[in-house]
Amino acid sequence: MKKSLILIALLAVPFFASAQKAFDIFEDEKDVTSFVATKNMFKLLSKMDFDSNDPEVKEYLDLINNLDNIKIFTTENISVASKMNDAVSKYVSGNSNLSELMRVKDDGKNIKFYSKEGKNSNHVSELLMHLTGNLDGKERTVIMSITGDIDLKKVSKLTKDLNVPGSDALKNLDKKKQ
Amino acid sequence: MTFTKYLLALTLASLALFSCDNSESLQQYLVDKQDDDKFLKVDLATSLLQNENSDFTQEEKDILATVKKINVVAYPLKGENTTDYETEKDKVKSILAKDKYKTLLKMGSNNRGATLKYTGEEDAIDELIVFASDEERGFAVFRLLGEKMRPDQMMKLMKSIDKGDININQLSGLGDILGMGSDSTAVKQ
Repeated sequence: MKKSLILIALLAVPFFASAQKAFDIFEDEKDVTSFVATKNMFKLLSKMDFDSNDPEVKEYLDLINNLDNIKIFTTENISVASKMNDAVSKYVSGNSNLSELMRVKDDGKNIKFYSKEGKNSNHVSELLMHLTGNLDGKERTVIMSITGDIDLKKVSKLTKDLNVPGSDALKNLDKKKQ
Repeated sequence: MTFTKYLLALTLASLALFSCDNSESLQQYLVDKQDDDKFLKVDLATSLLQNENSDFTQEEKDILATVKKINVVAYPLKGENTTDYETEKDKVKSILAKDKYKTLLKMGSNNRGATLKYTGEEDAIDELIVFASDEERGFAVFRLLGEKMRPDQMMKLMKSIDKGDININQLSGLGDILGMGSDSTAVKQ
C-alpha cells in the first residue's frame, strides 16, 4: 500500500514540476528581461551563516526556505508581450486549480494575481502575477511566477526587495487577509 | 529477493557508467580550448589574492585552503566571428544544461545574460560558475574552483575581504581586461 502511494507521488512529481515550464521559453527570448532563482539558491542561502538572531532576517529565511522557484519576465516589445499574454491565458485556462486571487486596475496598469491552493488560507503553492500596461512611462508586460510553500502575508516583502513591479498591490493583499 | 537486489545494483552501476561516459564536462571543454587563440584565459591561484601582511586566523586559513583557484575563459566577439561564436556559446550552454551543474540564478536582459551555477552539494561546493554573455562583446566563463567549499564559511571569508586581508583589486583588473567584468563580477559577489 505504502509502496503504491510513493509510486503515485513520484509519478506526480514531474507533473507538478512542469507547471512553470509554460513560461520558460521567455528565458532566452530577446527583448525580455528575466530573473530566475531556483530551489538550490534558496537552500544555499539558508546554509549561509547570516545573523539569524535578528527576527526580521529569520522570518525572511523562513520564507525563502520554503520556496521552489521564482521567475520574473519583463518585456517592452509588443509582439513578445502578446506572446506572454497568450502564454498566461493559456496557462490559466489549462490549470483548473489555479484561481484568480486579485485584480487591480490602477494608474494605467492591469495587475492580475492567480494562486494555487496551499496548506491553508494564508499559504499558496503557486503565485502568478500578470501585469500589463504603463509602467514607469513605458508599456510593459510582466510575468512573475513563484512556486513552493508561499506565505501570502510575507511574500510581498520579498517581491518588493526584488523590485518586482506590482508588489505594492500584493501588499494590499496582506491587509485584506488580516 | 537477492536476485532483484543484484539486478538493482547492476542497473544503478551501469547507469552511473553511462552517464559518465558521454558527458563532456566544462573542465574538458576548457582544457580543449587551452591552445585556442580565440579564447582569453586567466588562471589565478587564490594564494595570490592574499595580502602580504594579512593576519589570518587559523580558521580563515582553513577556509581559504578549500578554495583552489579562479579560472576565467572568455571569447571576445570581434565582428567577423559571429557564427563560430554562436557555436561555441551553444556548446558551453549545452554543457552547463546538464544536471550536474545546478542552477542558482539566471538573469538576462535583451542582449546580455548571466547564469550562476555550482557543482557539488549545497554544503560542500566544488565549483562555482558564472556564465555571462553579451551579444556585442562576447561570452565568458568564470569559475571558482575548490574542494568542499562551505557557503557559511564563505560568508566569513567575505568579511575578511572587508577587512582587507584578501585583495580583490587583483580581480577587478581581470574584469577590465575582459571588458565585461563589472556586471558579471557583481553577480559573483
